[in-house]
Amino acid sequence: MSASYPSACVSTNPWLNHSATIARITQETPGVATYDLVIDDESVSVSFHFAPGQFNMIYLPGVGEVAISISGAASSGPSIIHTIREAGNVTRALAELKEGDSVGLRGPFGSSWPIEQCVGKDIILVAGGIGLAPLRPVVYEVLANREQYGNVSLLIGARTAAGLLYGDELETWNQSIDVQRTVDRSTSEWTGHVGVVTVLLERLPIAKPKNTVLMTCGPEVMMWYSIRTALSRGMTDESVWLSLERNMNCAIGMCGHCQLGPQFVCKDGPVFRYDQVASIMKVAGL
Amino acid sequence: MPEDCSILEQLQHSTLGAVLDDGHLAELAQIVVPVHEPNGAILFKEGSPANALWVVCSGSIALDIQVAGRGAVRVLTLGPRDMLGWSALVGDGSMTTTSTVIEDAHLLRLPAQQLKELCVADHTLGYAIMGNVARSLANRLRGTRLQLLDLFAETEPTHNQSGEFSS
Amino acid sequence: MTQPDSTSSTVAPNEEAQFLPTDRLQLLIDALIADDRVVIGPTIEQQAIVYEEISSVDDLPRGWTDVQSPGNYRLEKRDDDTYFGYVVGPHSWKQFLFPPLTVVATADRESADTKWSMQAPQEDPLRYAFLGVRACELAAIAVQDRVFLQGPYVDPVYRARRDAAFIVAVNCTQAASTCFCTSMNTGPKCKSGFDLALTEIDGGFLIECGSEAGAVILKSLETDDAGSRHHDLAENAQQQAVEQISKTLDTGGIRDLLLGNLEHPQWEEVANRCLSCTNCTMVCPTCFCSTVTDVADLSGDHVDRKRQWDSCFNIDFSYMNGGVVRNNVKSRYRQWLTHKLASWHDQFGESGCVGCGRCLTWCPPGIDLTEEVAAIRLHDLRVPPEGSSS
Repeated sequence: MSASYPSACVSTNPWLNHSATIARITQETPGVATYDLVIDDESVSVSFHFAPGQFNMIYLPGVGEVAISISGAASSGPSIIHTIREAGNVTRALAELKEGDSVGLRGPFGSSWPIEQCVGKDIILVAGGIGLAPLRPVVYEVLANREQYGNVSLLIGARTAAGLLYGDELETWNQSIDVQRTVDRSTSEWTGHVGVVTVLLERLPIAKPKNTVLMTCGPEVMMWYSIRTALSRGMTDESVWLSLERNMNCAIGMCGHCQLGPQFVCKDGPVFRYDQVASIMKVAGL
Repeated sequence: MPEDCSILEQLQHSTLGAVLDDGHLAELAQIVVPVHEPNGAILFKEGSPANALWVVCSGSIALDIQVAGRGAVRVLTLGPRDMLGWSALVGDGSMTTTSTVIEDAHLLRLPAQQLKELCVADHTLGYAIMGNVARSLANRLRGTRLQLLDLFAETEPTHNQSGEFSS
Repeated sequence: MTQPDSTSSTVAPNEEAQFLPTDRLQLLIDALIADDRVVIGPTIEQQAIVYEEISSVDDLPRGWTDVQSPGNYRLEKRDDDTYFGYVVGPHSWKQFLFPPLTVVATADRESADTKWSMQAPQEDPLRYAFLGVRACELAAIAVQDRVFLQGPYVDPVYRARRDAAFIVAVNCTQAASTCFCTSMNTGPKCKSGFDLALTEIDGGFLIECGSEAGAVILKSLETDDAGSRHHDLAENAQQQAVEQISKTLDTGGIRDLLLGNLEHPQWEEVANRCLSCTNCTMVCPTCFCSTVTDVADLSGDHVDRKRQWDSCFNIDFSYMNGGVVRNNVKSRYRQWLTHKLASWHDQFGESGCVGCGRCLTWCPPGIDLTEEVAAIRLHDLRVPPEGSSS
């Protein structure tokens, strides 16, 4: 069972990047910033639609491309929002750019979170570190159509308090959904939960496990244990979804880099239903 | 769990009392002392004699370890259903952490000596209790390992001594 | 699923097979060149039969054959002067449709202060004619068509070359010890996917027509209608190829067999022999892994996005987040073989292997994938050992 392609990339030539301007940069945490990108060509900009969970390739000519999940609301107008952490050559070069500078963009690519399947159900989102970024569009969708969903919990884990993202949106979110946060390592100013995010999941009341959907994004080990916990609480293989990551080069399933077993993470994923990848996730070096 | 839930119900829902039969729960309930501690109260100090087990019914409890040069380092927070004080049953006799209430808490306190006597007198109860303690510690170990793996390390560059970022 | 909009399609039933005498083979090459094509055909270079641009029948490896076995390739003189009396060498046709190095996009700016303009490369598509395509190679081209043309995205580089390519297939009249096309249902007979197909027989060539474009070229040659004698000779010659095939790959349930044995000790065993040298992926006509990197010129104002062949055997092919996922030869060999013979079924609905045997021949330690699969099948870990209680 492969994912549908909710919206294809905006070019007929899948290698072609579109020029986009950095409309806004918001520093989130050390090494992590959010970039609002606007595609320069208005006809292309207007036709860009994405589904939560999808990603774009962001291009810096002369440096290279990097796959970045889209972390804004699906209806955010011309701005396409990406929260990016500095990790390699491209993202470090990106961190040198300013508002008004240009980058290339192509996409959107990949599979999306199964939000439409959550109507009438309870939702649990488990986010670790930068993994909150690809889940934020789900939060926005829930907030925009709150009455369509049941109990919604967002469990966030980070290394320290300094790594918790989107802190200023928390109050708004808390009004409609249950948000809990925890850190691996405490610092003197943190008075909240200490411990891994899976512990929050263990403690979370799950009233109707057969009518609950879990979506998780973060380090693979964290997702693995979150899923094990969800299954032990009565949820099923088919109601748990995760976002995987592999070396992405072409984003269109032609370079071979991103394969995990038979799955191309760029086009069969990055969002997978757990049963699609359960047997291959723990095979060392697959 | 609201404080008007009976002790039996609270025990039953906790990790200490999970899957215990009614008879065993009743035995435990005999020795339970319900306790209410406000925000800021210290349940026990690191290094003090381990003489009780607790079950958290509501609120939040923080566990800290004193590290020379770093002061009190918070290693874990506990919530409803969790047990604390495992050192009283399977430790070396002293508490390994300082336990502070960080959100008004209702707890059930079980004196260690009486609990041990119950387990010796009734081995099936003892087996069930030890199983629950082991499972709770296994969970705790899994969580600790995940904390140890420092999975988010690359997300947040750590400052080195000169204040520069390194990751 | 779109079919390639190419000149090669299924056999045009109206065309009668033709006979072209040997001394007129040059006319075929001339006709292709006259059709504004670059003719690629077999020729001997550095003691191997490779595919290069040719213009004359004298370029062809007339009177030569290849002797192959795992880790071995030699050319030997034949005792006749057949033009196509060999099988396959280290080259395949993929280097022309899916070039080893190509520009997929460009970026230009007037100066450091102006915006980049990103474009697709402007190039006149090369009009190739491939002379001497074997049945296994036709199958391989079809496999790569699936990858580059028939998924959710189309590669314009492959499409342009593929649409313009004219294919003259050649039916094999012999087999190497490394061939196993019969096991993969890809040969040795050429059934479709060509514009013209030749079978070399006594005195000349039986030519079958496979498309409208093929018919056009065929008409321009001086040929005779093939008689029953020609057909019989051709059939006998083709049958010789079938009979010479000695190697088999048992493909029964192979997808589940391999994906169900990911922890089999055989992977460790083959890793002791495999050098992770990437030869197999280079010579394999279906391997398609690549890497795109940015290459700027000295001014820094012009950048090419260059796509280059890569290989899952390269150590950093699976590099991610500060580490390599497939960090040893075992996991890389397993990736290659399970992709080729198993995962390909999930991804493209067919096997990725066409049984050409190149990976056996060009593997320095002579690893034979048919034997590796057989070893796993022999001790299939999905099945409990006999005698164990269930």
